[in-house]
Amino acid sequence: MAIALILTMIFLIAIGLPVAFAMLLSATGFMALAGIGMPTLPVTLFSGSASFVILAVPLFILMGEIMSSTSIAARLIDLSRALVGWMSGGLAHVNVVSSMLMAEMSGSAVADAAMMGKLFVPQMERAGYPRAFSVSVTAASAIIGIIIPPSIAMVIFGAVSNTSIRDLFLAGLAPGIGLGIVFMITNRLFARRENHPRDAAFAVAALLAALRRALVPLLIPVVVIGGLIGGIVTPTEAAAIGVIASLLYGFVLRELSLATLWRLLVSTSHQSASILIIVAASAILGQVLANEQVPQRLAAHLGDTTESAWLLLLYINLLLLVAGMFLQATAAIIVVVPVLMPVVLSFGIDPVHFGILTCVNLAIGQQTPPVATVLMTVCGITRTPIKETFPYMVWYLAAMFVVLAVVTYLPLMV
Amino acid sequence: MILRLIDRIADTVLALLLAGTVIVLGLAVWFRYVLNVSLGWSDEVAAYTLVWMIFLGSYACARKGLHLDFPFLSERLPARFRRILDRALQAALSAYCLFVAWQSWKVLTVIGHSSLRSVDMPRGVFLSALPVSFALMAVAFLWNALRPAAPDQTD
Amino acid sequence: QQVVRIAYVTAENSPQASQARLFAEQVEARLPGAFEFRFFPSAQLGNEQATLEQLQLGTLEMGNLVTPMTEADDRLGIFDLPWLFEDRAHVQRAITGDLKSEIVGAAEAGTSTKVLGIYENGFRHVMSPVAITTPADMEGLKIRLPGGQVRQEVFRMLGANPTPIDWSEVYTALQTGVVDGAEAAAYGFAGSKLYQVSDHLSLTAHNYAPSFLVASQTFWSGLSDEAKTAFAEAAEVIIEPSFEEAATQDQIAIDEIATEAAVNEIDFIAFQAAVQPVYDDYIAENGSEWLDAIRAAQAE
Ligand code: NA
Ligand code: NA
Repeated sequence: MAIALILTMIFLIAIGLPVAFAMLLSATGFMALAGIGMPTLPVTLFSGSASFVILAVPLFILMGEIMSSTSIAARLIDLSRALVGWMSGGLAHVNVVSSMLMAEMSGSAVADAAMMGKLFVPQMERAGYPRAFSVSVTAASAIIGIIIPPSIAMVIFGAVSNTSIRDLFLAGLAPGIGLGIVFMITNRLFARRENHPRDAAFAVAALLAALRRALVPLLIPVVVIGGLIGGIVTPTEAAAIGVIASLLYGFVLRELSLATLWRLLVSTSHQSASILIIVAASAILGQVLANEQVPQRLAAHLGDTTESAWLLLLYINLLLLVAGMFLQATAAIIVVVPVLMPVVLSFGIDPVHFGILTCVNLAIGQQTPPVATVLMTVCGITRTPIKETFPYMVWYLAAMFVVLAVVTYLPLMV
Repeated sequence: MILRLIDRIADTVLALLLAGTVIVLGLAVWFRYVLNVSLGWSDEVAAYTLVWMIFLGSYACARKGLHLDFPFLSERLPARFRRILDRALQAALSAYCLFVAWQSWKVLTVIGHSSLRSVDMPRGVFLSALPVSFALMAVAFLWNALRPAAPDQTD
Repeated sequence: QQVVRIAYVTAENSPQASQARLFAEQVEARLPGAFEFRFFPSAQLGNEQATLEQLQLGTLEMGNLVTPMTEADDRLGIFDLPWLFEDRAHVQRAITGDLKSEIVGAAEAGTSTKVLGIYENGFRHVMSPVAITTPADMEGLKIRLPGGQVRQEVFRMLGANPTPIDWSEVYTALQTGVVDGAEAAAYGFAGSKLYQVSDHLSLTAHNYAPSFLVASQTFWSGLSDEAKTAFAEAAEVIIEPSFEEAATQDQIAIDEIATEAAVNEIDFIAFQAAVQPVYDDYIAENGSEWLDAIRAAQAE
């Protein structure tokens, strides 16, 4: 029945229903078949949307919008170009490293992706990179946020599976950095193959000039990241503070008018809604799968199917990848992890190892169509057809699978 | 004509809600760090406000064709056939949204009176986002299905 | 075989989970094979509010709930009063006596559900960077506190700054210092590993949170008389073992916390004096009958 549900959903998406409504429609049909009362639908849509954590999404998009329509984004990116623009694929590397830094702060890959997409894609286009490439780098690297600590996904994994969150955070560092490195290697290969633009040779004078122009705008990321690391604000609040700081900059330097601000508020709310209704729909899907105890049945089946830890991990990876395609990371963890945990333990697999590979899988699942929340987010806010990103995404996904394979099997061998 | 008016009202409400959320969260930080008093209600009210932003925003997306999609099969169909299919899908969406609006209206009448935890404010203020927005979406999708020109393609 | 789903928001290691399981075992012992119980921990079917709503709408059979029940009626705010109960024995005497039917009546009227039993969701304590032994130690601490106007007022009176933060963000909020401390039951601190990012557990026991095992009216009215009797008996006989189990789980959690954080007792008398105004407010609004009944149970 779970497979029928997923196939229906994919079919509805394929013939042109919006992703959110394909999820809602098939989940509703499934509820009717399973005899789950229909009032559950509005109740879950409501409680799944009234979440302070996902409120970070519109705020980060708004922050990115304001930075892009003032000179803030251009000045910051020009500074990075002066630093690394002489390298081939320099800006793409900056994009990846920024995401690794952002990973320190935001717990949500969608929020990271939304802001980075607003910030980087137009600027990379200005510097001469193909847009679909810029979208792919941004989407791919945004998922590092789930793996490099702090990560809400890991906190929830720790809580539902009784695993040390500190150990999870520590264990996430290496795969997180590993992902950053393989992404940069991929950037480099594309830069060579497609002859991506590179600036003139490194010059101290140009760097100093760019630094002077970026001095005040630099205060904004410093305030946001500093506020988070310094423990002054939560991620959602940090986004609000970033918005206020960018607004101050825009108004004081007269780069922003009230009319423009109004337009940005309206377009931000449209973009956020198009992303977050998918999040709300995935809450319904999670509710339906939990109700029918689909994960329990799969787990029981898995335990009976194999005696090899290697094969078990392969199956678990596949299961988690599929879960990650349709559910938000936290929903997937709450529904899937508690039932897989006993199976995993019975095969002598370390819970921390299981935790990291869960997070990596869920991160990859968010890049994989048909649902692909993170990729969809960046495509949505940059108005890029998802299909155009495939020639690039395939290789970034391949890079992710390399890391996943290492994360999955290396601990078994040592 | 009437839809245009609704669009403008929806956009105004959305912009004000988003701006209001930024202000409330900014105040929350200000109170906690500068005045050392936490606003007990800010997180809860901001989170519930998001319900209006998501679903009323979804109405706007339905009007403007901004809902994210990935029609990998139907885009291979002949253009004429695809136009018919798209209209049929929009009509189906309209019916579905009407159904959700009706369901959420029933739910609103049963549980809408209960209050938020941190401040005396009925949950119904936020829950009503569902029936209102889904009813509006039903109208928007119906218009997409019936309007004279070919429906907009999401780009 | 009728399916009965029981939903709660706490994890498998919580008192609420054991109450649900004990209850199911007792029903099964009375009516073998009549019901298939399914458990939904960790908010798999939604947060507490959404769980209550599904019960009210009749789309869920049973739940084990705390906050939306105690907020269903102003008099039930009594459970928000700090240092109301001395210990578990006191709780058990107080809420199994005459008071029980009044509490049940108020909770049922306020939520339109069928209350089967009242058990324990734990005594709530505080984790913080410094040991808290007197009210002065609370001065200026930003403490994460879930909702509830009365509970916030209590911490304000003690000089702390109550701060609402989503439970999923508390670990990192403590790590970075967005808040200095948090208040929760011991199994909550242990389950979310908060002792890894906080140094002291002060056994303030400032609140006892009751858990309410409830059924939806739709489900309850559809049960046969025989089944209703079995459910009522099961809910009654698990009182004793559920409190024992809660005590055991509490100790296990405190032991786990003690491996990485210092655990200390507090000076109750000083705290009780500091929060007297909250009691005055409660009595002014709701009268002192329930309070007197609870205090009488203390003297026994
Ligand atoms: Na992170
Ligand atoms: Na990036």
